[in-house]
Amino acid sequence: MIPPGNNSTPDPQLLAAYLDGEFEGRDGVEDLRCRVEAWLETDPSAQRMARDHRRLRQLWAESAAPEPSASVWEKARLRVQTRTPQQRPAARNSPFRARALLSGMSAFLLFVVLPSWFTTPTSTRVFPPVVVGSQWAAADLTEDDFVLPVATAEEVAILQVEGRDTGTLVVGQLPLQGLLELAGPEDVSITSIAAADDNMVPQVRFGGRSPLIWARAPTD
Amino acid sequence: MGVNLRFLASLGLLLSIAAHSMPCDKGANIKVTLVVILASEEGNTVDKRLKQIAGEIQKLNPNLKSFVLKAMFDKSVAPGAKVVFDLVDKKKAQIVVRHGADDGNKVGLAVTAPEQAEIVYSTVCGKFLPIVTRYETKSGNRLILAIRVQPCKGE
Repeated sequence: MIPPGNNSTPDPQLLAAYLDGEFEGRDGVEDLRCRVEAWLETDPSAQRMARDHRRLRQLWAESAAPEPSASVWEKARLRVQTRTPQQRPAARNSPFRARALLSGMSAFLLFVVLPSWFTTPTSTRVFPPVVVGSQWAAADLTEDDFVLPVATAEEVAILQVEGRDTGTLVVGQLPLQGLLELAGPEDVSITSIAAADDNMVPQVRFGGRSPLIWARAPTD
Repeated sequence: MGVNLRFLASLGLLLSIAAHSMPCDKGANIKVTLVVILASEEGNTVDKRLKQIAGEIQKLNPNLKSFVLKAMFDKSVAPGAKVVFDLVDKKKAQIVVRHGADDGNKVGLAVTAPEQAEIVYSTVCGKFLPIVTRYETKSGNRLILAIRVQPCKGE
């Protein structure tokens, strides 16, 4: 329960950490755990946040892209290692640079990594696997290492596309492919053509071998 | 029990075969394809996909020299249902699928183009019927619609 006299509402990040099981097996967090549980019991907004968090975590789990395999991680690591020496400028042994680097890393950990740790569901955090004693010699990745699931033409229905964009379509079948083939005289039977409000009635005309329905415009 | 299962499995197999061997029935959805074309007296650019329709139209109005494919649509429509397409300048076209493939293997359509009344016709599948509408865009282009349906029986 919330200690008497303590009316402060726990931080939503603590709630996220609690729901992610961050308090399990850790010493010195009993007070926090009690406050969060009391908050959850009594505050509808906390209950709503907890529901949303669980739903979000489920969505993450369902929609997360497949993790690269350990061999892919190892290849990537080797690739970085083999390229870094050529690309890194010569290091200078400056105490000032070392202190600045240390300060920068501390600030990064304090303001970026730690907050995101508490706000990110556990299931979404990525831990690169550690490969010990790897025998990989080549660092080149093959295209099979990263398979991005892409829908096939049969799985996509193109419902509308602007004429100028038809060349940009990667997957799917355009409504019109190739030449626009016209119907012949025997292919179409006109049942009726109603008059417009100004009594204009479109006509069936033949330019060549194909029928056209032509509505007279003022400029005709 | 085993006999019943075998019977049900055989029945399911027969029904599946029958369903696949039947031609497109009249209740099946029709895919309506609409191509929106803008024709102009300016320039001399004809989209290569529109060469045939441009040639036909130019025989009736040689002043129309440029033909641009503005947009294309595919919509699956149940017989008896209507579908509305947004064209240009907030103009719309409405198409009603009157019936699926009939005994002559033609699909019935009712088309209402901008500033026009309804045109009812039946057509074979896989080929376009052009409708040169009376609407001219704000930039002076003539609006042309080309409509195709598919599939029909055995296609």
